[in-house]
Amino acid sequence: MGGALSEAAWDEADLAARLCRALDLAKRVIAWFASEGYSDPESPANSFQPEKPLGETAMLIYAASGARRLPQIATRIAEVAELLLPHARSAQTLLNMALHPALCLDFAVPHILLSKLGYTDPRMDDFLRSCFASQARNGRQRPPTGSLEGRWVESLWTGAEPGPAWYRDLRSSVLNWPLDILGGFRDEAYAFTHLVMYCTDFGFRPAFLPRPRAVVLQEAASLLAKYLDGEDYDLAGEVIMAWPLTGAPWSPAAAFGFRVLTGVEDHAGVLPGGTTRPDRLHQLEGREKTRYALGTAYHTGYVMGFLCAASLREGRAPPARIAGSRFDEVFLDHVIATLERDQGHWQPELLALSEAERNALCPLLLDLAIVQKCRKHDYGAVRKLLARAHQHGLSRSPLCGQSAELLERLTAYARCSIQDPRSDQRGLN
Amino acid sequence: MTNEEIVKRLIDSKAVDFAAIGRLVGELGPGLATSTAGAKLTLVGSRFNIILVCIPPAEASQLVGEIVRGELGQAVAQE
Repeated sequence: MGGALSEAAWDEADLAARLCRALDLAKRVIAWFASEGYSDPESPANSFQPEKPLGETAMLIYAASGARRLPQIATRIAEVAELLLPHARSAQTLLNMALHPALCLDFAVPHILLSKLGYTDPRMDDFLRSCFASQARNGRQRPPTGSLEGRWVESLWTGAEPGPAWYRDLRSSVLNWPLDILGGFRDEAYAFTHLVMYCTDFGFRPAFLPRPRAVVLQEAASLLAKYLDGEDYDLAGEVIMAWPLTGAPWSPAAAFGFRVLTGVEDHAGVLPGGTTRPDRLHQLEGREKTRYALGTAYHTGYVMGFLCAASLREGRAPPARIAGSRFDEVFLDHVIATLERDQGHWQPELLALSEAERNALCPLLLDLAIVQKCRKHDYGAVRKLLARAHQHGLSRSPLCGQSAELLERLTAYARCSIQDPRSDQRGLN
Repeated sequence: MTNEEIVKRLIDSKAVDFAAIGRLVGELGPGLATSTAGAKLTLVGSRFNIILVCIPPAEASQLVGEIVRGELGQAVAQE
């Protein structure tokens, strides 16, 4: 997929305003959840402990500090930091570290990130060192993503550069192998996006990836199609970050995804996620409504802040217009005619594009069509799409390859099932 | 093998009745999306269930759906 040939970048003032919105949201999140977290008896999966917003808020201002040259950003970082400080180094946080030395770095994330921003506390560092010296400090089983997160936090604390242990973990991680785009779950996509954040230190260091950047970004583009179709703006936003965080030119797909997210954010007021249920929000009033809205939506609001912070770095803003290679118009018309219209806020954005911008999105639209047809189990349509894409030399995306493999597996499945008497009843034979 | 080569291999192979397979996946697949056991290879006992782990389940996440203009922004900002 070719890079966007941008003539002009996205308006910096708009990016800064969106980041300011996220930082203002962070002040309210600290006020509401830093002491006791959020408890949701009706949807317990939405509940979280205070450590979650504390850590995420610290990461947000750390990421935003890359744009501290802008006074309105610098002011807000300072305001949020002052609100965070008492919680980051509270008696409760210290006690948690003393009782759980294998988690001491996790509890110290806000302290370490605040220290990087200039809010140092040598006494806290001494205490952290004493916990970190415990024999049980590694006494917790972590997947490669968790291990790499720990290595990133430790590197910020000690100043050590990534070494052989990073490579070892990276080779075992989802960044080193093709992600299961169609059949994978959200936690695997999160592992992918979070690893990009840690391996670039939120854009503060050159990308440190186990595979070529172009290969990782091809997977990101296919993942973006999946999460735009699923209206999952939390993951869509994190996936788009891969371009500015790695310093790659924005692809047409990434530029379009960013445009969709800004449209949704402008309409809702905060970038929404699937956990905020509109019917419940309507029913609630007063403080309960605010608490529910903040508790379920702040994370996606932060994602927009992270994305804009990465985009505000020098030379990393998305293009104002979508531009790229031109594709066969007949094939593009076929793909557009194939698209389902049942869901996705990207659809009105697509209609609003110029013909040239829409044409540049042909590979993304092909991926979207494949995702939709797989979602509806219309595998015959997937096969036809792949055949036509192949005729036009456009079957290059990871999603094209993985959907072809899916159809091959299903074909094998049908053949295996011939001996199963129930398959006769299901029309497979 | 490149993605293009994989697609070509599929196109060159004999076509099967994907409509019938799609109906079956639609019938049996969603169970995996809501069953934590399904994706963890602990569905055992029948040939169908063992094979089903090859079939991608739909994601369990919820759609954002229709957005009321400004409502969420006002809700997070109100005192």
